[in-house]
Amino acid sequence: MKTYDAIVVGGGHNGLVCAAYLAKAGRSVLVLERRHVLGGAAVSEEIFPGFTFSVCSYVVSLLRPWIIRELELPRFGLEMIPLEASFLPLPDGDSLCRWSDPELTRKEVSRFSPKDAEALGEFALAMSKVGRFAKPVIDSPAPDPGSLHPAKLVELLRLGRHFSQAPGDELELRLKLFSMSAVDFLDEWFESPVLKAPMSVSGIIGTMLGVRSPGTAYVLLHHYMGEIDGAFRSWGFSKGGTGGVSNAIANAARHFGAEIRTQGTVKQILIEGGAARGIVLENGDELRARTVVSGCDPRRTFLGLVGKQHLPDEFAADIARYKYRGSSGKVNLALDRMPEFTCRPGNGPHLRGDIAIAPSIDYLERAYDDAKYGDFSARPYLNVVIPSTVDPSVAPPGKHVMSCFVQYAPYHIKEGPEHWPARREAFGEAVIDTLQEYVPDIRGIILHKQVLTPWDLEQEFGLSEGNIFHGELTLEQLAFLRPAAGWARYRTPVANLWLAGSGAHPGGGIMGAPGALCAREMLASGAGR
Amino acid sequence: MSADVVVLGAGIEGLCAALTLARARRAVTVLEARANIGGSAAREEFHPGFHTSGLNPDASLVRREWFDAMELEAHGLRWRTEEPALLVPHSSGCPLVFRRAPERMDGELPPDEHARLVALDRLCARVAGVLAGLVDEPPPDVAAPSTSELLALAQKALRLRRLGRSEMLALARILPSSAQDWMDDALRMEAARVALTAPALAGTVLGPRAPGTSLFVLLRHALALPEPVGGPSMLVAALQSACVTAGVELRTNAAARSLRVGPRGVEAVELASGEVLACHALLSTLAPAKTLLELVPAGTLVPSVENAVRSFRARGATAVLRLALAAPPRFAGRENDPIEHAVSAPDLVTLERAADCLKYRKLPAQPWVEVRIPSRADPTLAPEGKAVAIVQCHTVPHDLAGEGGWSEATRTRLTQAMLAACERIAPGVGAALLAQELLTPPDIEQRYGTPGGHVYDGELALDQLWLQRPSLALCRYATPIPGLYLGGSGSHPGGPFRGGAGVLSARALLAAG
Repeated sequence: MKTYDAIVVGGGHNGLVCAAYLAKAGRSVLVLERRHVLGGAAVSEEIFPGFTFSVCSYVVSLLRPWIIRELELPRFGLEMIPLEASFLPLPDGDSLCRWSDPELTRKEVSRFSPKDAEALGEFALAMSKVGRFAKPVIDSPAPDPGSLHPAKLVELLRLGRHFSQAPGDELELRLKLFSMSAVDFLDEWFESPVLKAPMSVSGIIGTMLGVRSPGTAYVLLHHYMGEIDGAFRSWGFSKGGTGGVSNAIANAARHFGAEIRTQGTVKQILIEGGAARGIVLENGDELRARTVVSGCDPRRTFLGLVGKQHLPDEFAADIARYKYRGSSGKVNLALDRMPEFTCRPGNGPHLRGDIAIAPSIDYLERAYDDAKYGDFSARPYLNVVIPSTVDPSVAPPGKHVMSCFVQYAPYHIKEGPEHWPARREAFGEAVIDTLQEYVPDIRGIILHKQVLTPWDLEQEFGLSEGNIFHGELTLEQLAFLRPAAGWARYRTPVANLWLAGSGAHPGGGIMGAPGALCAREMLASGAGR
Repeated sequence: MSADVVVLGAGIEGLCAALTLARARRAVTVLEARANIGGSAAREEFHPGFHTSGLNPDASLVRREWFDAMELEAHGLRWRTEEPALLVPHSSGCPLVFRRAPERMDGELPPDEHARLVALDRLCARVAGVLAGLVDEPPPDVAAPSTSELLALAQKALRLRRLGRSEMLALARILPSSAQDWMDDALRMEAARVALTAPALAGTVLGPRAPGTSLFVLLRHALALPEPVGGPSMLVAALQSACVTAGVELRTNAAARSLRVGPRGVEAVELASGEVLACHALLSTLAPAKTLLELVPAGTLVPSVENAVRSFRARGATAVLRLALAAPPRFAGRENDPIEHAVSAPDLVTLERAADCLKYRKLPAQPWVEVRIPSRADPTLAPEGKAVAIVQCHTVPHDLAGEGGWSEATRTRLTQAMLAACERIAPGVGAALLAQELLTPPDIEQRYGTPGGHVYDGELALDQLWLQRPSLALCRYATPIPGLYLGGSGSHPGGPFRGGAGVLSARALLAAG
């Protein structure tokens, strides 16, 4: 019976990236994906005939250019379409659109606040500077402050100096960015709530926090880090939906020699003598490997596939304590024609990027309050994209797909998460009701509606508690603490078992970094030989 | 008229600064705007025969090290031998009477919960030394750290590391987290969680689910000590006495109107009376905004410094209701216990919901209150047999939105709501009420001269501590104006860590020669 060098459990984008790198280095790799389609939460599916939905994730941000290059992804089908606009319809009939062109943005913003329009440029510059500092952090494994190993200490010292070595105002900016709430941080730069509301919301995507919660400012960096990735515009749509990214990675992996199987459910990781030796499929078949890589989240991996009995107590406690708390859902629509926003009618360029339903900061906080106390937001924050406006491949001519990311939808609703199916309909309706306030005829043009609650994200896509990042991206679960202290470099306490998904550094989003960095560590350590 | 060093404000910070300077042989003149010494810590008679021991009766985090070093026993300062217990209501009707020392909690907690509290207490005790070191030293000079500073920082890092890997990592995990998460992990009993969390939120505008609130819980639990006998106002009395002995000139009814700044720095302070007092140096313990935006002439400071001070948030969120009572309150379920300290919230959700209303600048519909009965420990505060209660609500917005803002009607509503909260845990309080005085954040602003009416001159928040209190450029007490120093509650350590900023800023002034 063949013994693979590596079996990758889970065909999500990180698992596929890891497999591609390992295969490229000459290892024999098998990827096993439970579903019928690859990609995990970076997946495209024809949910309704003729319409390709980016079922879960809907834009690609920060897909690492070096990974795109090294895996030759454009050659294997990756095509990115930049987001040109960020549209904010307002309840009073007005609207704000920010564009990738700074001049156009300045003009729009100056209608609300000339002062803010001027401040935008300075803000972008300041954020880019900090982004430049933060970038190396996501492109390398997390430093380990607990280690007294000289090499690790030097690394830490370098990082410390890297952080504090800056002109005073830059250092102050860094300190503020990492300790403030998104709203407080933006309050120091801008006055118009119309600008602050949609900007602040990026700080809370995928977390159970509000825009006024401390620790949400640093996520603002996200947008500005994409800028500096240069020629490879890494913030945008993927042609064919986000599944296009996963498919390109899978194509690359296959080209390098990896074997990929779908509809292969792994029941258990085979552990003998305290080390991973392979996997056991649901049907009982065993497959052997020198190393096993998990692209699943830490809970599923360690408490599901491995089993608590094989884990050291402290690690098991850390994994049990690691928080998920899914806070979002998804409503995907197939539309008969282009939706008409009353505040800015017509099929214009303002609809070719993302559309935010975030009319004010209080609105966002009330949405958060609903979730805090165990219910989905009566009036949620929505991040809507209509990719068919720029990618004709995803819908029939003249028709459209509309993808709505919804926050908040707490996994832990007060009746208990298993009650979610009973609430699914009402949840979907709340979203449509919200949209209707801006697109009065939305109900008349819906051909098909797919509603995904956090429960559905967990059941169908294996995301524990529906958390899209394989675990919250809060400071206490990042870097050397992700997923557990001392185990932040892709190794796990089980010999020959590695973690390559978003539950490893640097965490969630379609970055590919966890998968690639895991593969690097594996290859550097000679794993799988 | 001329002086050597002028200190603005005769609160605890101002008196500590003055004493530190005087004992280092500087000639000190303290200018206090109000009629009496002590600022917000002064004893006040709010109703004939009924006194407070200061606006904010919490003195559990005053920096004892400094006061011990100042040898104030000779001036009447005594310390209590233990802290009063904190009463937290429990749904069973038998409230929890919580003491910080687990060994004093016998019988209050079931054995497994007791063990959990011991573990938490042990972690806090182990990091207390490092925390105290950070609190009691000036923030490092990040621009050009001196060798000794780097050494001190390295020492602290090593001390942290020597805590043991698992403790250090526990700390890394706990510090940025929300109090809710830490408490959920560490303890099972909701009342115990409330006991640790509720008092720690005072001065923040946050609820327990906000990231960073664990830090405040940790600081309080690790560093709290028994309070001075007689509360903050006794601290003031001892400091005042020591200042007088040391030759400090204490002037009341001497509000500063503006500062005169010349080419060599601060030159003089102009009083509201018109008097001009020349000085070599000036240490202000007033709020940073007041000192740098009101007293310093406009245009003296560069815009970046002015903006930094403007962004230092000081939105008062505490309202204080003083009660003159015919008899001490009796707490339901513990009627015969001489309870001095209680909170009315039975669970963390209550704390969270109340904090929500700060976001929307509304009055809390169901406020929770923190009650202190200082007359229990200091009977001189009230006539014999009677009592003084200080009731604080920490979620009252300074700039009330809607409802017409602050008016008699809203003040009455708030008073009633706070009394109702007291009544829930201490039935009969309403019936024993002889008189009351409500101080809302705007009242606090008006009475004590602190813009925003914040009890600590600036919010307690992760981004407003240490290097960022009040800003990176100002955190080491010196200002861009030679001879002008900041040393009030809006500087490090500030907040409830009273005395520290006064001493450290005075030392910075002395070091500059």
